[in-house]
Order: sequence, then structure tokens, then C-alpha cells
Amino acid sequence: MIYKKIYLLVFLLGVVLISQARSEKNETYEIRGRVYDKDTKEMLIGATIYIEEFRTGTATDGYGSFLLHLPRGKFHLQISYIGYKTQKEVIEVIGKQDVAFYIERESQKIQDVTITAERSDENLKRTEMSVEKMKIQQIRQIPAFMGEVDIIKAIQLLPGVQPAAEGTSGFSVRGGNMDQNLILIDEVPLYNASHFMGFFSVFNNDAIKELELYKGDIPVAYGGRISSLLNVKVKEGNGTRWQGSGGIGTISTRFAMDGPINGDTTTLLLAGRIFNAQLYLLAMQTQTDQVNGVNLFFYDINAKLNHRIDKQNTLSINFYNGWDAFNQSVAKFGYGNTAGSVSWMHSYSSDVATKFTLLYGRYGYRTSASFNDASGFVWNSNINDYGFRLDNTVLLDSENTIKFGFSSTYHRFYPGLIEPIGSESIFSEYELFPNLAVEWGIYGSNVQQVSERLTLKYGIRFSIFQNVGPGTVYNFDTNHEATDSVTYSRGDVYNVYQGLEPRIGVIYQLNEASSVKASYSRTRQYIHMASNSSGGTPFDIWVASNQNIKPQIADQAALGYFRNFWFNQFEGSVELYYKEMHNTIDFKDHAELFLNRKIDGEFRIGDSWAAGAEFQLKYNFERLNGWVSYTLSKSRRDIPEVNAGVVYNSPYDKPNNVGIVANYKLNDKWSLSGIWVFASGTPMTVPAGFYVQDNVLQLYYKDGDRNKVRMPDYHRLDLGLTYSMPAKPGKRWAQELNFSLYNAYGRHNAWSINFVRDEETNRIYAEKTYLFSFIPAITYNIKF
Amino acid sequence: MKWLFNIFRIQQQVIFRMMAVFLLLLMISCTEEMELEPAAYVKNIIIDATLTNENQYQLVRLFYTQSFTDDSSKMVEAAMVTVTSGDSVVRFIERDTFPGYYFSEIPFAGEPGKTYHLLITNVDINVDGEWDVFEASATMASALEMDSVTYTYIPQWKATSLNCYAWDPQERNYYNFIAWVNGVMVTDSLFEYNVTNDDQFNGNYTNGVTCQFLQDEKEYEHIENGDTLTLEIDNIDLAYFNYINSAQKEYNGYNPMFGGLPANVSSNISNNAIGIFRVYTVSKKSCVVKGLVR
Repeated sequence: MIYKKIYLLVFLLGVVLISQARSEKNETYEIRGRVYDKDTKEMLIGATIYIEEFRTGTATDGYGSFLLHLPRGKFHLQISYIGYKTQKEVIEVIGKQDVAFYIERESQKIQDVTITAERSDENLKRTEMSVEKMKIQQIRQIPAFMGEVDIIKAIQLLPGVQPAAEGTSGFSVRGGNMDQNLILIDEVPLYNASHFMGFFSVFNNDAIKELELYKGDIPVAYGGRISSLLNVKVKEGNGTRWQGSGGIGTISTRFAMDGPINGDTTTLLLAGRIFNAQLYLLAMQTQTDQVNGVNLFFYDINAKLNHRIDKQNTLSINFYNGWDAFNQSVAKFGYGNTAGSVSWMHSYSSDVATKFTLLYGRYGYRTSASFNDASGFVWNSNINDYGFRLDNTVLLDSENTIKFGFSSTYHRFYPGLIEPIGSESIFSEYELFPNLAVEWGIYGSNVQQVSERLTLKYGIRFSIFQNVGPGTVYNFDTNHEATDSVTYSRGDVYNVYQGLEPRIGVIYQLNEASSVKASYSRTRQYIHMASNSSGGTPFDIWVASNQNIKPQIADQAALGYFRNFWFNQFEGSVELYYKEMHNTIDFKDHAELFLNRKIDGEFRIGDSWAAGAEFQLKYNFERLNGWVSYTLSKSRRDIPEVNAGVVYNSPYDKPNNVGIVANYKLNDKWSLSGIWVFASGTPMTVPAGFYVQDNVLQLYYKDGDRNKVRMPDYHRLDLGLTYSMPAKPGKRWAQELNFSLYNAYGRHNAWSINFVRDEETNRIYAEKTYLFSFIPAITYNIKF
Repeated sequence: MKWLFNIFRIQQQVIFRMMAVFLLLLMISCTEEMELEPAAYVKNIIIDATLTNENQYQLVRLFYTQSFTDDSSKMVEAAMVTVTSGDSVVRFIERDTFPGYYFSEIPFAGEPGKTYHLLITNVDINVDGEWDVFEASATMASALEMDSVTYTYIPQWKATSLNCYAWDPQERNYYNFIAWVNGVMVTDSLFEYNVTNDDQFNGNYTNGVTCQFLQDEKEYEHIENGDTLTLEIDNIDLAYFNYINSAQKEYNGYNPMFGGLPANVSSNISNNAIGIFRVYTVSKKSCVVKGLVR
């Protein structure tokens, strides 16, 4: 029944939006086209087409095509794309026509040095705000932690984004929790996008094309998280010839190959990465016996197949698999993700396109141990998502772009099954109750150019969340003690949440060099991470909203001023935001989140808010590019049953943040890069006394003191130096050597602070643990 | 490092181990002393009361939190302490030579199944002229019947495991394991306790599962042929189980990866007091070391 309702709603929504938005047209003609790489014939998504006469333009969409409505006459176009030479074209419009533009790469070096991903003043006119878009070429320029280029480390440098802890790939956006970020790889959600306890992300830079990070103003097509959307896109293969890239670094060895497998209609990308652990283990075996018998690795595999069936139909298949393993004589542990999607893109006409996607995502971990015959067990835990989405785009006219569609995901959270190993094991099979749920979303939006200066963006999303049996839910009294439980049968829909999520934006172009933007969005989150850790671990458990845990809801309003200077070589922006979050999740003191069937009783629910001002100045000269940013922010939580009801700083509250990124091209062979980051110290709780019990020091905390003081401020300088060896004429091999230095001045930034007692003198003092002093690294890259 | 049969703890150990190896590989992670002001001193009482099924003088210890600037011990003297069960009332008397230590006026043994109430009065924490009253209740669990205890020397770990053979009763149980060598308790500190509930093996035969470890590197745990090894299993209640778990978390400290946020150790005593009224049964079984070759 619900399927029929949703289809009907989608249809009605589409009709309403189209009828509302259709307006009187001038006498214009449709110019439909695509932009390709001149050599590889690969479609370029996000390439911009600028009409000099109108000082406006458009960009190629996710299907690689664009649409213009132009009157009769001759027009000068500029076609640009990151890493490519801007190409000038002249077209004469005498009627409806199709065009194709082939643009040329700037150089055959591995790294492209253009930082501007879009037309020079795109930032002023873009209909979104609070969004950061980065191409992989841009990310590669930034000095990398241990030489391992990592897109998540790169976004942590952006204003409004904080690493969850030093070195980790978890991040907080505008004061939100880590689990409030929706991370997608070709539309498939990743629940733990990390390797090696979070120190590296799952994204192999050879396989990634670009990313978009929405810090607010999340497109209405997406839902399910309240803080941000990180949309990572994998490269399509090129259609001309097989090409490859790869490298050996301090952390990993990686490769990627892509090319045509059936003329230029079918392309394939294959990429892989493996951790170079054995080198370290061998080196360390001479130093310590702690690593004896240890086997350690992680890997990633990416594959993407694109097939152009005909002019109107394209099929795309994407696959990712990654796994971390830590094995030793008595215990084994592993975790990883699998993501797969199949997309069919169809153009009904020059104005109407649709994309249908099937999705599968899985995150799981596995622990096993066997110290003797009696204590053998294996513990499996996983999350499975099965879903589909239908996205439609209607280019109604040159003033209105309508999008509508719906999505559905079946979530299967399986927190844990413990099974004995062998007949001698004392353990019985023990299962934590699975959580099954279906999440629906239906949306519609329009971007309407009201006048030459004013653009409106409005849309609405309606989301439904259903808990589905089989399942067991405990009831709790006011003290959070379980009173009884109710068991539901397979297929029972035993709890439903639903709600509207309006998203509104307005862009007003003040003049050629500046614009103001404002937006409001409501987002809802129905699944939550239960974690005691601020930095994240592979064992973090996800739970679905149910009768005990209400959905988290966020309302965010933002206002921005954007101004370009000096022929668009400087892009300045100021964004102010205020975000109110309801049903914010925290946990009781010493919450037990593992192996706990009554985990709902560990949650403590309240409200939270965050506010901030983000200032950014990007600069882009021929040899020098980068940005400077400063963020002033606050993030507070008000959870009645936590901290004696006193409002406290969120764990990610860092009022002052500075980021400076600079890349300088010395000459054709050498380039330098550097970043400097500063952040106020992480909030922490300090004791108001101590005592000794059971022969150990214990600390005593005053009620209401949570997160009241701060660790010392954090700052760090990273440097990078790249030596490029471009391909010689007639040759295909380009190489480069990259040297990086993390934490160049070796500051001992506090990772944690604990009060400890000196065993000899009994003196109690604060002890800082810091993870990294300076870390040099070297990486060799190759491309052919 | 202990690899015991608490599954959660094993998993934690795996993570710690993985993390340790990673940091070792990178030759990073160091500690150093730093300047950081604690919060202004807050005085509160700590109540440490123990009652077991062993016939002995039962003990209640009362003391105050200490200031970082004045770390002299502050015992709570001249309090009134009683433990009641049904109609029976036992007074606890402060020893002159041990201020703050209150012993039952007579030796007695707690009885499994009985609920005991602790009452402490005549304490004025804030010196405001009004007595503060503290209460706690706990029920003694039944004693675990052990069939036997064995030991296994594990050369690669340079440690000896103590293994237990017993039927776990059908009801929900919480256990704390303690090791003795030649009549001396050697795992007597909080970080050496090992607790588990029986969620994953309820009603099963323990079949020689490892319950405690003796480590060669520790003087009192370095065993030789002829030594008597004793495994003590305390059948504890949920409050004591929570106390040990939370106290161990606090003792281990905090970092962004593990542990959450600092908080006061879990207590089962009223009026916001810190501490624990631990009521439990003690079971012991021993074995003698023979033919040990390192």
C-alpha cells in the first residue's frame, strides 16, 4: 500500500512543481550538449559553459550534459574544467541544436595545479551555500599525513569541519556528531569510512574523481543525517585508451587502471590499494617481541563499469570492498565495508532525464579468540543496507530546473552474534536482537531564476521511517530500568516516524563581484551511532530509532556574503549559521554499549545548538593558490539527565579555528605546499578531588563540570615538496616524487590528558599523551 | 596483558593491542607532564563497606575526598555505622588505632539470600551542623560450588593461568575472580580484578576456562613447584559489578578513542555519596604446582 502512496505522491509532486514553475518563455532555442576530454573522450561532469554576451552560464550535470536556452544569434562561449585549458567556442543559434565540445588537458603531469574547479565566478552564482567541492587534483596538492593522500584529511581543513581527534578520519561538521555525516561513495552510504582504527579513510585517491561536502543546505534529494553530506564520486573510465596510475608510499601501495573495453561505449576502472604493514613488522621485530606473530593488513578494491547503451541510455556499475585485519596467535579481528550500486541513466528528451539506482552497502566486523579450548568464540556484527532511488531532472526552461524523486532503504542492523568455537567452549550462542527498518524519502525541488539577479531554490522532502519485525523492544521506566519487552513478528511494522523536511534558499547577485545567499533547512536522522568514543572505533554500534529513541531533527539557517576580487583571483566568503538540534543523543555515565540487549536504556536525550561564523579567502594565481579560513563557533548540549542538567560544551566545540593552505609552483618540476592549522583546545573535564580505593587513585568530579575547561590549543604545520617528471614527448610515463613532513615543528599536541600519580612520590599531576611528533614520508607516483 | 573469558574485555584487549602495534610501528605516542589546574576542591564522603559469607570482623571504611593542594588523608571519625538484616542489627565500631575504620562488634558471616541494609549517621560533611545520613542495601548471592581448579603455564606469555571447573547456576550471576599464592592475595588491586557476567555462558559448565593470570614478572606471582595456587570466585551483585567496571574505566583513563567522558565511579549509596556496599559470597579452590619447567 505504501508503495502506491509513494508513487502517487511522486507523480503529484512532479506535476505540481512543473505546473507552478512553467512560465512564459521568450523566443529561445534549446542548445543541448556535452563536454568531453579531447584525448580520452571521457564525459566531464561539472564542466562550465559561460556565455560571454550574457555573463552567465551553466555546468554539465551528473549525466555529462548541459542545456542552454538562447535566442537567435551568434554567441561566444568559454568551456572550462579543472585541469583543462579554457576553450573558446563560437556558436550561431538558428534553431534547436545539439553540440559537443572537446577540451584539452593542461599538461600530462600527474598533478594539475589549477585549484579552481569551476568558472571563476561560479561561487557567486552557485545556487547552493555551505558547500565545498574539491577535485582530487586539488587534494593531491595538500601535504598528506604520512604521505597518504586522503580526501577526509583534506576536508578537515575546511572552515566548519573539525577532525574528531588528531589523525583520525572521523569528522564533525558545524559542531555535529560524527554519525550525523552521510558519507556516500557513488550513492552508497558508508558507516565507517576508515582504515586502521580510523587513521586513514577508505578512499583510494587513484580511484576518486571528486567530492562535495554540504555543511548545511543539504540537497533535498538526500536525507537521513542532520549535519552534512559528503558525496564522493569514483572516476569513470576513459573511452580512448587504457591508462594507469599508482604509487608506493610510506603507508600503502596502490594502482588504478581504466580504459575502453568495447570501443568507446564501455569503459572500466579498476583500482586497488594495500597497506605496507609487513615492512614495518619486519623492521620492528628486531626491536621488540610485541609484534611477533602479528599479521596486519588492509586493502581496498574499486571497480566501475560504464556502458553507453545509446544516446539516451547509460548504465553504470560501481563496486567497493575494503577490509582491515589484525591477526595474532590467539585473537583475530577484522572490519570493512562493501558498497555496490547499479545506475541506469535515461534521457527522455533534451529536457528530461532520470536516473534509477539500486544500492547495496555493508559494514561488518568480526572478532575471534581462543586462548584455550574452553574460551573459544567468534563474534560477528554487521549492518546491511539494501535500497534504490529514482531521481528525475526536468529542465523546464532557462529559468526553472525541477528535480523530484524518491528513495527507499531497508536497513538491517545486526549488532552481534557470538558463537562458540569447538565443543569444549563454555560459551553458548548469544545474539543481540537485530534491528530492521525501512527508510523512505520523497522529494521535489525547483531552482528558479526569478530575475537576472535573484534566484530562488525551494524544495521539500517527506521522510518515513518504519521499524519492521522481527524484533524485540524493551520498555523502560523513568529510571531507564527495563520493565518488560515486546517481541514482534516478521513483517510487523511496529513503529513509524515521519516528517517534512523543507529546504529553502535565496541567492541575490548584488553586482558582478558579489552576492548574498540565505538558506534554511530541516533534516531528520533516524539511525544513530552508539559510541563512547569521540574519535570513533570500528566497534561503534548503530541503532535505529524506535519507541525509546526518537529521531534527531536539525533546523539550520545560514546567511552568506560572497565577493570576488582582482579578476576573480580572490574569492572571499563569510557565512553565518545557527543550528538547533532536537533529540540529541548522549549517554549515561559509564554506559555499556557492547553486548547490551537493553542498550536503549543507556541513551540520554536532549537538545543541542551550534552557531558560528566562517570566513574564507581563496586565492588562485598562476603559480600560487590555496586559501585562508577562520571560524568562530560555539556548540552546546542541554541533556537534562547528563551533567546534572547543566548545559555543557559539545565534545567538538572548538571556538577558534584557522586554516591556511598554500601551494606554490616553483617551476615545471618542483612545487611546494604547506598547511597550518590552529584550533582551540578540546573541551575536557577536570577533577575536584581524589581518593584511593582498592589500591588505586580515583578522581572525583563535581556535578555540572563536564567539558568545562579546555586542553591546550592545537596547532600544526605540514609541508610538502613534489618533484615532477612529466612524460617525455612521445612517451606515456609520467612520474613524481613527493616528500611530506607532518607536524614540521614537532609540537606535542595533546591527544588526551589524564591525572596520574607518581608511584614513587605519590604526587598527582596532569599527564598529556601526544600521538605524533614530526613524521616525514616519501611517496613515488607514476602515471601512464 | 590478560586474555580472560569476558568477551567484551577480550575485544577491548584486541583493540588495545592493535592500537599499540600501530603506534609502535609508527614509533609515536608519548606522554609528558603538563600544567593543568584541577577544579576547585569539593569535599564528599567515600564509603567502602564489605560484607561476605566468611565469618570474620566485617569492615566499613569511611573517608573524604582529598584536595590536590593538601593531599593528607582525611578519615571520617566518630560516625555511627550499623548493618541490619531483618530484626538483626550489627553495630560497627571505630578502632582507636585505625581512625575511619569501623569493624563489626562481633565476627559474623553474611548469609546468601539475605538482604543487608547499611546505615551511616553522625557525619557532617559540610560542617553545617546537620547530620548527613547515608544508606545502602544489597542482597547476598549464593555461593558458587567449584569442582576443581587447575593451572596452565604459558611460556610465550611468561604467565600462569588459573582455570575453573564449575557449573554456572541458572540465575543471572556476576563474578569477580581473585588469585592467591600460598595464602597471599596477589590480585588485590582494582586493575587486577576480573569481572564478568554470565550472559554468554549462563547455566553452562565452565570447563576449565581461564579466570585469572599470574605473571612471572611480578614478584608475588612468580610461581615455583610446591606453591599452592588458589582461585577465589566472588559471586557479586550488579551494583558491585558496575562499581568495578566503572572504577576500572576511570583508572584506565580517557582518550578520544576509548572510554567516553570521565565521571564519578558508580555507587550504590544514597545521598550522593561515593563508594560501594559490597555484599558477596566467597568460594575458593586450590591446586599445587608440580613439575613446572620454564
